[in-house]
Amino acid sequence: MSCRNVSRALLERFRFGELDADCDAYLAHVERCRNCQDEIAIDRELAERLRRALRERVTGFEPSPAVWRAVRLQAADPEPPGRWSALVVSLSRGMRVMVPAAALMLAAVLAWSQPATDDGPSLLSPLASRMQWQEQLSETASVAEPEHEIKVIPSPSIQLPVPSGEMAYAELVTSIKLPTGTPTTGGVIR
Amino acid sequence: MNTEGPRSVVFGTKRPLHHGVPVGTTQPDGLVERMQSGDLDAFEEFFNTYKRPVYTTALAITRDPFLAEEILQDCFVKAYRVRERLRTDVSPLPWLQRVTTNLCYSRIARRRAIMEPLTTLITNVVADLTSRPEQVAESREIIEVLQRGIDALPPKQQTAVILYYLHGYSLAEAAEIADCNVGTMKSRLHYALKALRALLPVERRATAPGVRLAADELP
Repeated sequence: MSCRNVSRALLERFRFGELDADCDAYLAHVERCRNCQDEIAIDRELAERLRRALRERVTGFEPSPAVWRAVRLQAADPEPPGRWSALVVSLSRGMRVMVPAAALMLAAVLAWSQPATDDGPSLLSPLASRMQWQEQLSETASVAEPEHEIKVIPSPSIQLPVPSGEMAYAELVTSIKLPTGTPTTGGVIR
Repeated sequence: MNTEGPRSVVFGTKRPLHHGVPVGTTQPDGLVERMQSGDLDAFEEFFNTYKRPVYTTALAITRDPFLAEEILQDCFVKAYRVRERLRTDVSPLPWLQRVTTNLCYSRIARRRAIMEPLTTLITNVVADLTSRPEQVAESREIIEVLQRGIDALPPKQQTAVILYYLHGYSLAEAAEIADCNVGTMKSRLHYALKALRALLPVERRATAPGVRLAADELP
């Protein structure tokens, strides 16, 4: 029996105190094998130092009395919803906002893509409807040439007097010189 | 004719929690039953009975006394909320320990990075106050190496080491808490020790004087 065959099984048997009648072959090897004896001794020393390191982590610490007060306070509260019910609740809360928003957006898109026409609502797709609407718009937007020349009326040139002293409103109005032909109604410039 | 229909999973079905094998901690008679009836005094007794091993596990894993207290708190709040499903015929300690380890590893990832410097500081201060000078001189270096090695172990191996070497649970009890079989627990311990041994300085891996296996230790 070689050390290689012995090593792990033997270490575990010593480590966990599982030495029984089945171990005779292993023990016979250990009695004459210095390497296996060293392996077992090192394993024991490591285990002892591991215990010491672990004890060092917890020595001198005690839970605070405040922990019990917090536990009691929380335990008195009703049980919080589980993961699935919490998900359903959050989804339903979201739906309350999302459904009206989605409906509003849909209505806006339809209104944008579907121009008001005299022959009722169009069943075309929004894009086709929009293209058709643009064609109609370009046709109706073209203005026919006038048959006779349109006389351009010059805009009235108003010369406002420089305010000097106390000028009455009536004087101000009458001092405004309008070009000839400017339509007026009761003193109000249109 | 097979009368059993196909298995179906029903969410929300209550199933009994398995505590596994009884452990050394004694369970006062009727404690869980009284707790199940809503008796808060019984719950306080339950807390005082099992708080120490739960806190020890949390502290050994996290190395953070404040986080360990939070985990202790969450563990017992959870125990109270599922008290109807706690078994009354076995000790609840293995179940509490399993909840504790799960809570530790679910929190440790997001807390360790922040708390590491403070934790190290606290651990060192406490160790210096509680250790005798000759102990510090004797094995400070190896203990520090082992502490870092324990932190670096995979969670399952770390849990195995803490349950077996710190608490002193039997292999069967540690396996029950870790929800694995005894062979798996042995394997986790083996690989944990192998990893820790590899971290030691080469000169420390050799047998120290006085620790050689004596001939009379062999059965």
